[in-house]
Amino acid sequence: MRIERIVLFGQAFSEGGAEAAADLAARLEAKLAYLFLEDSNLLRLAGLPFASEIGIDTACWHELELSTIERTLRTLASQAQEAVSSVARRLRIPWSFQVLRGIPSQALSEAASSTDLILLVRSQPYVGIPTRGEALAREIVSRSGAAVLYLSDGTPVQSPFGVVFSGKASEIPTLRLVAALARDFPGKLVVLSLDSGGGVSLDPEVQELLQDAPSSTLLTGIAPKAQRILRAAACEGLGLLALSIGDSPLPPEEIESICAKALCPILLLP
Amino acid sequence: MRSDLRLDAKTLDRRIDPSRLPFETTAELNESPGVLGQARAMESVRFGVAMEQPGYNLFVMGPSGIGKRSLILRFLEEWSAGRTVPRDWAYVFAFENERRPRALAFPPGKAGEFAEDMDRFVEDLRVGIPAVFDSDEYRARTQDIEQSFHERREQAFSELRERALKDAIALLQTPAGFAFAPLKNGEVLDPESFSKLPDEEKEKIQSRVSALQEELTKVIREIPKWRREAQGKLRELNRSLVRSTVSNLLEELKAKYAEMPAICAHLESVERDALKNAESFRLPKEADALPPGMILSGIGPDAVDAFLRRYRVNVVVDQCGAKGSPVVLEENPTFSNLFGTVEHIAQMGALVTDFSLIRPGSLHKANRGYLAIDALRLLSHPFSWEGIKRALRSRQIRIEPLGEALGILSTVSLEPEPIPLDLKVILLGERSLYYLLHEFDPEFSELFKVVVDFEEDVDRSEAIVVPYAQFLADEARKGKLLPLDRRAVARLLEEGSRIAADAKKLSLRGRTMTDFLQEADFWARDASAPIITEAHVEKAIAAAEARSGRIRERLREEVLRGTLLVDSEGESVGQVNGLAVLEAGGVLIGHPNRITARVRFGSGKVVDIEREAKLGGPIHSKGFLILSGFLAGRYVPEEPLSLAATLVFEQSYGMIEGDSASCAELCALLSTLAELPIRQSLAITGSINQKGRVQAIGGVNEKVEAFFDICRARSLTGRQGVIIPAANVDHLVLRRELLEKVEQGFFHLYAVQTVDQAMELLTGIPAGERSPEGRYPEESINGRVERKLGEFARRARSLSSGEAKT
Repeated sequence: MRIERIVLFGQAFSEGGAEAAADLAARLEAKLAYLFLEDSNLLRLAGLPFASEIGIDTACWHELELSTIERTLRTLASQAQEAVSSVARRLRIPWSFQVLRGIPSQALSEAASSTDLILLVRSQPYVGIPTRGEALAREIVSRSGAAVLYLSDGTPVQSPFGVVFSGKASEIPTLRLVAALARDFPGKLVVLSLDSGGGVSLDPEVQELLQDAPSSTLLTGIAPKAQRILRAAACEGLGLLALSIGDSPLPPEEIESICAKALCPILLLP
Repeated sequence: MRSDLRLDAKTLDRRIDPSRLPFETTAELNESPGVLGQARAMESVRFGVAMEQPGYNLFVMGPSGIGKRSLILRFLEEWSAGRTVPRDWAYVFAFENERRPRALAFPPGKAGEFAEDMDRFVEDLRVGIPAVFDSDEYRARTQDIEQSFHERREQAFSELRERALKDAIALLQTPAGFAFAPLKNGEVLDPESFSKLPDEEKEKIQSRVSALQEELTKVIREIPKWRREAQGKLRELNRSLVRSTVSNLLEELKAKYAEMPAICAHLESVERDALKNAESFRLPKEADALPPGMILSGIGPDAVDAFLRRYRVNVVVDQCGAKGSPVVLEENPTFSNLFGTVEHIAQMGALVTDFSLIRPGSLHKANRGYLAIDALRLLSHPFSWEGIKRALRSRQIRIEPLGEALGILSTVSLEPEPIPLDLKVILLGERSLYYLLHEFDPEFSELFKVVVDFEEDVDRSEAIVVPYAQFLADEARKGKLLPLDRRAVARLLEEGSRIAADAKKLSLRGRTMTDFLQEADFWARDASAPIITEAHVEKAIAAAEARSGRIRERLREEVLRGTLLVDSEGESVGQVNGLAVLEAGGVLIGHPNRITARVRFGSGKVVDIEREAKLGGPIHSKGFLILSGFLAGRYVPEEPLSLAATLVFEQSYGMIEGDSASCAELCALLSTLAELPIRQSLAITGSINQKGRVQAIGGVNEKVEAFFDICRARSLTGRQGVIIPAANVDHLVLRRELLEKVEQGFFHLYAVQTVDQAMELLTGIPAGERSPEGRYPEESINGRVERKLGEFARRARSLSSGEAKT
């Protein structure tokens, strides 16, 4: 799998997110793309006759006007663009900036492609209808086929690199990607093999990948529960945990729970 | 010539017989001379210093160079040794009012110790408290507080959001806050769809939104309160952590200084302040962004240090190691040097200060002791005199920086708590200053009740010779000079009389004597001599005179070249050699002056040309008027004085002051009236009274020597000499060369008591006394004068009767 673009999604600029995305783009020799999203819910709200907002600090109500909202969003976008260009220039990476308008999950899914790695920062500021980052991340992967890296602001991507593997063939590309990361960075590869009810029988390709890694660990018999997986990841001190969600035995809420509670960055793949 | 008026060489010889001195060299004199000839002054000092009532400060007066300062300081040092050592003083931060630093008193030597203890305390805090704030425990507890605040807020929003969702209304985050909007299929209802809704539906939505907005308002208005609560918890956490550290550190100090209630109270204040300002022990993050030098007090990497400065101690008086009460000599009594000051430092273009920049003055250092100041310097510095008086009156040392008091410096400053003042001020100055202050400053006599009047000379008795020699020996020892042999000492004693200008006195001008001693030592060493001899002293005296002799030389040269007309031979009517003395740079220079008189018939007016030309001072004019009175009273008393006379100092172009030439002027006038020539080989000095008695004058030695120098340069004939008042004989301490010539009969000195004696010497004619019939002998001086004046009177009478007839 070749990552061509590192996509940073934002509704307001996050310095930590931009730094992490740019750093990753530089490492993977990918292009940095910033997708600034203007939530159309907000624009609709401004058009309603009773639209008004309360200041978070002043607790004062005042009317919302469409022109004011648009101007404010433009300001936020230009600030984000300026910051991204500054980071990209510093790291000498190609970059682009695009303003999207729409419902966040839809707009982002449409803008992303399967060769993108989308960065979502947990504490990222947003405007519009609050969206749970974990749900958004899962939805983008499901809809666009792009990979999503879900991380906390300031948490680096580092080894050991873990991957949740349930033995399905559809998960092999994910395993392959993480093995490649372990090889390139380089770092330890940790495979968290989920307990499928039967015995452990590893595909020869999986065995080969494990052998090719500079060092590797295979953890087997892990129950397909978020809590168990997170505990195993914490024990191994993982710096990244990859999950293939397309054909995963983990239900969506377990996947979102892993995203929400993990101490390390979570890489979601189709 | 009346030889009975001539002074013989023996009378003029002021030498001291060296064989009377009971030592070979001063190296044998090891005893301290004590205080020479200043019994009255030292008694006054003893009284003034011992007197403990307020206002008994001392004014030590006398001419400079007499040794006032060294004597007083020596006395004070001896007096103060072993007396109670005064308390230490320190300034500390005043927690209740930081503009008014507190003054704390300590037993001697303890302030420094307390300052060190507090420095250690500050160091312990500086290390200990940040360590507490850096601990995992603290981090976890603060995160817990923050997290709890965030959760509380999020929960409130979340509950509201849930309630809104039940009515299909979303809580949206806007760029600046929050807003509510109706939802349809998970998205905000677009305005077009909303407008198509039935009115009832619209109203329902709007009403629900309004209700939610009120709830949201309540939530948002609660947030600051929750934040404050969280901050309060954080503050309490900080305080509890600081309390344990501070209290542990202070307990030890409180126990150590338990006997000192003021110190304990200060430590309590420190503890309270540390707890109150626990936050200040943390390094603010914003300081990291500031470049060095741009750090404000209280912000920056040094912020904790800056804050902790308030717990340090500024020791202003430290008596550690003192053995008695302090004796301070303030050489430069500026306002700041006397009363202390509050310094400032520049920070970000502003001048800032705190209690640690309070600097003590000499009043602090001398408190409960003695402070000596030169009076003239004190009066020369603006506000110093007023400040001293204020401090003595109020018995407090109040530090008020002068710049601020005058409004020159407009910046934040301090008002340090005044310190109680109890000290003796000793002013040293000239007599004239004392009298001026006494006359013009009513407070002076209230505050300086003790006057210490230093004598300038002492009687030259047998009893003083040895102590004086001991004084010279002591000075030689202190100055690491060669010892003096007895002849050198005798010569210096003789010079002591010359400086005193009195053969019966010895000068107490220690500085002048020490100067001679040092210069004699120089010449002795120059000649590689092991001791100072009479020749070295003689050389030192001669060299000193030569160094200051340029004006004297020039005057003599002008006389010898005939530019200034002064005869030393021959006779002339109405012309006499007067003697004047001028002072330049502290040196007296004598020089002869020709005085001439002209008379003619007139209205009885005697004109002093100097006075008319406004070149005569008031004393000179007074002498001249006395002269006129003498003339009118002695001759033709029953007739009006009918002459017109003029008198002048020839070739004098500057101011003439003093009456020492009045006798010479009278002689010139009498010579003119009597038409008797005056011997130009004689010069005369003396003042005259209305009865014709000759009175003492000043500078007699310099005057005599000046005429002698002229005569010697021309040729001593044995007829030359100087007439002086008999009252000045004791003041004659003449140069040895002159004495030799007197002894050899080449030069003469005559002492006269009356103008008649002077005239007889000058003319060689008897003055004449009034007979029982009331007439002077015809050819006597007085007879000739009276005859002349009688002629003038007759002419005046005949003229006035002629006028009456017409």
